[in-house]
Amino acid sequence: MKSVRTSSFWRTSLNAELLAAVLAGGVLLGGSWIALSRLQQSYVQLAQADAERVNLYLREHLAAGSVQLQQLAELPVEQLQGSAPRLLQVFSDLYLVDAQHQVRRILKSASGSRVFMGFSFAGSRIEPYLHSGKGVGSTSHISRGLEDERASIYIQHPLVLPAAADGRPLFLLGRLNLSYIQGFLNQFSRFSGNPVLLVTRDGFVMLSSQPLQVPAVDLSFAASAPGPVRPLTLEGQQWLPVVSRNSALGASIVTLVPLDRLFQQQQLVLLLAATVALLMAVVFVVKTLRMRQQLFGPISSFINQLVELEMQYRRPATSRVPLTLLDDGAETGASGANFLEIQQIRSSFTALMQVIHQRDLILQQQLRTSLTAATIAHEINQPLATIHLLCQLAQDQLGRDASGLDIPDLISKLDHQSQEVNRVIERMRMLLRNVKTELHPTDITSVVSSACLYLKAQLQSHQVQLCCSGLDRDDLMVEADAGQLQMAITNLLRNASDAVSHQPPERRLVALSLLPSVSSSAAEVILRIEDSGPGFRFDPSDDTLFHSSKAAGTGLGLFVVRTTLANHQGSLELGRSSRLGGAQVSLVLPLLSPSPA
Amino acid sequence: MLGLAGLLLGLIVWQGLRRSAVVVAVGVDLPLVPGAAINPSDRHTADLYLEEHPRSRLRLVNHFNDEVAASGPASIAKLKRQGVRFFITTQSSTLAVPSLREFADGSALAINVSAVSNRLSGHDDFFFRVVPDVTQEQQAIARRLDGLPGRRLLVLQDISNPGYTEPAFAVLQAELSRSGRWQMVKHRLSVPDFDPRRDQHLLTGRYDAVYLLAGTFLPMIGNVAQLLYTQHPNVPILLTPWANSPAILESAGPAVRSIQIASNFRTREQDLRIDRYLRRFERRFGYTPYAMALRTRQAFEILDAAVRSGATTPMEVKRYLLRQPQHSTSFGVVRFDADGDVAGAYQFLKPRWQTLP
Repeated sequence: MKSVRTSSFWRTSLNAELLAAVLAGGVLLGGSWIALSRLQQSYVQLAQADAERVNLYLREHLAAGSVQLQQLAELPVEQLQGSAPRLLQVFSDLYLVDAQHQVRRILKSASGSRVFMGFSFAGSRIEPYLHSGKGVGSTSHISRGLEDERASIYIQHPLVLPAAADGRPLFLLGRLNLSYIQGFLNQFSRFSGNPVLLVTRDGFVMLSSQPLQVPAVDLSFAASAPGPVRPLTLEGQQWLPVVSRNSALGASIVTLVPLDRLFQQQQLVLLLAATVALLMAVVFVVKTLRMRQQLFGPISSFINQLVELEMQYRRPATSRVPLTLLDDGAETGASGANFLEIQQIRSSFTALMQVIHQRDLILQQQLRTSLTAATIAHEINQPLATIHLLCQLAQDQLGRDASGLDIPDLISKLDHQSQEVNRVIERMRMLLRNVKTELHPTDITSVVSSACLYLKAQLQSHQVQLCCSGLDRDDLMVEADAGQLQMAITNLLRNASDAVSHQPPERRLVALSLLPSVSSSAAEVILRIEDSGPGFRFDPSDDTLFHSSKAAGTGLGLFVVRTTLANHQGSLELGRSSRLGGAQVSLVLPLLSPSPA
Repeated sequence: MLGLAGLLLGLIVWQGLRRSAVVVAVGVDLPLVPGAAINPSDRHTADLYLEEHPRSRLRLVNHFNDEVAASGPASIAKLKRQGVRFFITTQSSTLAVPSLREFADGSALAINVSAVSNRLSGHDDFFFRVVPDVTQEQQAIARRLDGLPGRRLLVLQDISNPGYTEPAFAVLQAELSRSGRWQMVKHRLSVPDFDPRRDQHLLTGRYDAVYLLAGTFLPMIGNVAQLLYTQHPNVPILLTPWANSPAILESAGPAVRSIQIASNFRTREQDLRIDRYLRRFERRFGYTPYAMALRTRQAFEILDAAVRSGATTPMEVKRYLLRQPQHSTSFGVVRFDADGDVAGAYQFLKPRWQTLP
């Protein structure tokens, strides 16, 4: 058999809503992440464009320097010693060098330069870029200058006119004034907000926009992938380097995008998404808790009452307690009064309960009446059949032989059966009266005394000793129908008398006692009747409708007693008498007012 | 019983985790060369070491040198306050001598790769060196000079790093005075502020040998050497181990033909281990580091071995360093004496361009 996993509705609802909150948070997060990535991509593209602009400026600067140097190279050597070279602001240092890269003349020199007449650039890092080709200029990669170890770019151009002295070719070697580029980088960085670095292939930073002071950047991982590469940590900050190569300079233009801003944006979005998801979850939890209190609470109470109702109807009708209607939850706050549906459920259920209750009462009454009628019919039928038989016997005997007739005996038996019919009819009348019980404050002592007096003659004729106790009080008042109650007590005393009738005369004992008692809930009076007979032959705890310990008994008497007590909100306890050894019957009736013991 | 076993197991696991979580921060100097681009050779050496030893528990913290001597101890004290207990320093003697007190009480331990002042020698402290002190170094240079022909010696002493050059000159002078062969002329100049026009007169005269007593890998040593070469084209120019740098040779031009550099290492052509390492370095970073970076590598190997042995405090590392008779490194063994100093032999390299260290 396939088992179905069950769960409560509110738990399922909460799980679904929390899942929705998580999914919503995830979707929000994912969406934000994609948007941020695109934003970051755009940001990086802007930085890339910035780097390209710097690249363009550098190329133009190099081209301008090259053109100026070429123009200068067209001048005669004598004029180069004049003021013309000094006017070229694009170069900070200018030399005439020979084919061995040795300085033959210093035309212009920056302050603090360590290059001197006769200084050789041979073996230096710029030597590979210097050549002795005719009429063609060349530009070195950016590197540390031999003058002052500062970033330098050298441009060389052969002189157009041969040198006069020895006829050997000479070259103009100029070191670009990079203060222009430095200033440009500073300005550019200030406007763009991103530091710009000029980094050689070996990772040394040649130029950087102020105020960033970084000696070297590890760009080895970016060798094959220009553009944004993995983040760098410089001066305690995280940067995203955007690399643009400048093959003419042998360097990379690195635009540093501060990741702090991107991280802040990401963190802000993450925080926002997490907050939204959390708020949704909180709202769902609070809502579920409130729903559980105001909606599911009453529903749960309703379910409990339905279960209780079922249990009630599984019990015998006589032991049912009156149904309480749906709890309004006022004490627990789970009234659900805010919800129309709950109010409708409550009112409908209450109405349903009332209908069921009334119908149950009617059904019980009808059942009781039907059973009683059937039993009475059966009871009446028996003595009538006996009477009929006796009459036939009397007729037969009177017709055949009158001398042998035991007429008195037959008449006595007829009388007895007639009395039996009479008794059944009395009980029937009483049962019919039970339909409407009229309760009045009644002194139970007088009712018991009346019953004893009523049976006094019978008891004496059966030689039964009746011992009464507790009948001297006059304060034991009960709400009772005196007639019904007296009938019930008479029945019980008669039963006791019948029970001891087979005992020897000296053992025919019946005891009656009246005891006030205070139970946990109310003051009560207990009427106990004990006898010295054989006791109950059936299980006293069995509350089947009709039982009897007598051979010819119908159990109708005990049923009458039960019915009477039910009509009086009392109870009946059956057991064995510890004092007399026979049956013990206890009638418990609520007192009108507590009575001291 | 079961609970006790669980507790013991938990304790062992916790100890294991605690042990694996120990991080040793190492201060690495990034020399600030005055007036020059900064050379990140040491930092890159550290990076390469950790890349090649991903399971190492060493973690790097930058420690920047400064030109001002007083800033040396302050920068170390600052890092100590941040919890750094181990330093691999490239401080020159001028910075290292005042910093010595920071390593006196065992709150931190340093392995220095460049300070050779004999004022750092003979102290039972937490300052270790993987380089011989200036006495051994200058004795070796004096012996080399004694092996050269001639009588007239020009010594140019750099005054920008007196912590090194003053005791070095004192030792050299004492050693040379024993033979009494050399007539020594000494000029003092600030190499970082070298101006060929202004300082040219210091180089004039007739000399049989020139000794440029300068260190800290100042690139302008090459410019001075080239000017010396133009003045004295056939005279040997001796340089200290602290001028063993490709950048210096680039500036030296044709003076490379006359240069002899004192070194504890052989050239890369002579030592395949060095060549292989430099090839890895060049492949990774695109340039050749100066010679001192080899010592930085040695210092990392020694410190990492100490940490691997379980030493995590300066005292434990000190015990380890002194207990081992010798420490194997990629470029040979290192033996510390009781004071954390080392002895070493010198040779004199006649480099060609781009062949050093």
